[in-house]
Amino acid sequence: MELNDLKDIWMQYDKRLKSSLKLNEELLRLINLEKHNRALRKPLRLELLNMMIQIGMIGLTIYFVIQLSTERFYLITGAIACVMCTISLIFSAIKVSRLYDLAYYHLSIMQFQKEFIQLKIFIMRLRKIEYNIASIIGITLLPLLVKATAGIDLLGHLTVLIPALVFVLGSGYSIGVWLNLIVYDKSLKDAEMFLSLLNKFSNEE
Amino acid sequence: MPVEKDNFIAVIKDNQSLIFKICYSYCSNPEDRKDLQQDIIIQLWNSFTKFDGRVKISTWIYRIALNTAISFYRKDRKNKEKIVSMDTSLISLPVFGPNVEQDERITLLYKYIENLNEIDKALILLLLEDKSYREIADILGITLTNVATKISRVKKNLKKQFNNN
Repeated sequence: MELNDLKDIWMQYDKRLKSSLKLNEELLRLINLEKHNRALRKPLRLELLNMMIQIGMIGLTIYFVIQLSTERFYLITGAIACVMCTISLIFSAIKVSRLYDLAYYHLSIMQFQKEFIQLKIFIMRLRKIEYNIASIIGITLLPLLVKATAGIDLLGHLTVLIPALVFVLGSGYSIGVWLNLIVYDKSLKDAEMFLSLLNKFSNEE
Repeated sequence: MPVEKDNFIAVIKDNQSLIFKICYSYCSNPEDRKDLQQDIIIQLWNSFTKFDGRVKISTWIYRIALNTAISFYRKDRKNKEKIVSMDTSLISLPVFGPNVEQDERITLLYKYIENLNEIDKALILLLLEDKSYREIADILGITLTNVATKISRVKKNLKKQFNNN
């Protein structure tokens, strides 16, 4: 069978579809399409939420550090936590900006798919870094939070501080290994494979 | 806004078979098909006001519909969160009269399409829709020479596939 025969069959099928398909106009008129979630809005909302959390954490850390500014240890840990939260905030802002810029109504399939998959790879790489930053934030914030909220100086309670740090580091490491192996590395590999397929497709002449 | 929505509904009505065929080609699961159909309509609505007529309306629809299908339905969606929450199909399935031979060929064609990668699916759909090389190149974003090379390869594959069956 030749391509033209298949085209003819497809055209006949299209004619039959056109006469049989029914668009639910009433439903389409009733629903507010703008209110429904757009696929791209989900990661955007996640990043905006992340930004708000980071801003809150920076504010709270600064407040606690000011309260405990006379103690050098808390000043240093607080400053490290603030710097790490700011880096995370900058990463989230970059992701939000890139997600806002992505619009596909005027782009060809190759252009959009390449941009989309490159953005996906970029976001996953940033998330891997962010995960490591989160561990540092956890470790540096823990003694500060305990001191500021409960008044307990963990430096004077090493029997509590050491197991707590071991717990934070141990669980963080386990989650990190799982995230890297199962989520990020797998998704990155898949995204990179798709990108190479796109490149192969557009370069094949 | 109501006039705009009326215009949009008219555009969707004129092109519902195109949306239907793309959904059928990219999703084997009926539930996913319904989700994709709704998502394509939402994406079309969200960019409807930005359509400036520089490209043909069908080119614009193909770009959005195919990009939505490739981006969000590339992998099995069974574990993914639902993107939209409407329960009813906006475009309902047709009930065909008896034309067994043609239906078998269409089933075979869909089966062939199902086994292609996401980008080749887009190419074969455009080819079957009898789009010109120029239109295919515009929608896909590749050169005319590239389109010609791919079509020649697809022709050979189709011939082989359909002569074996």
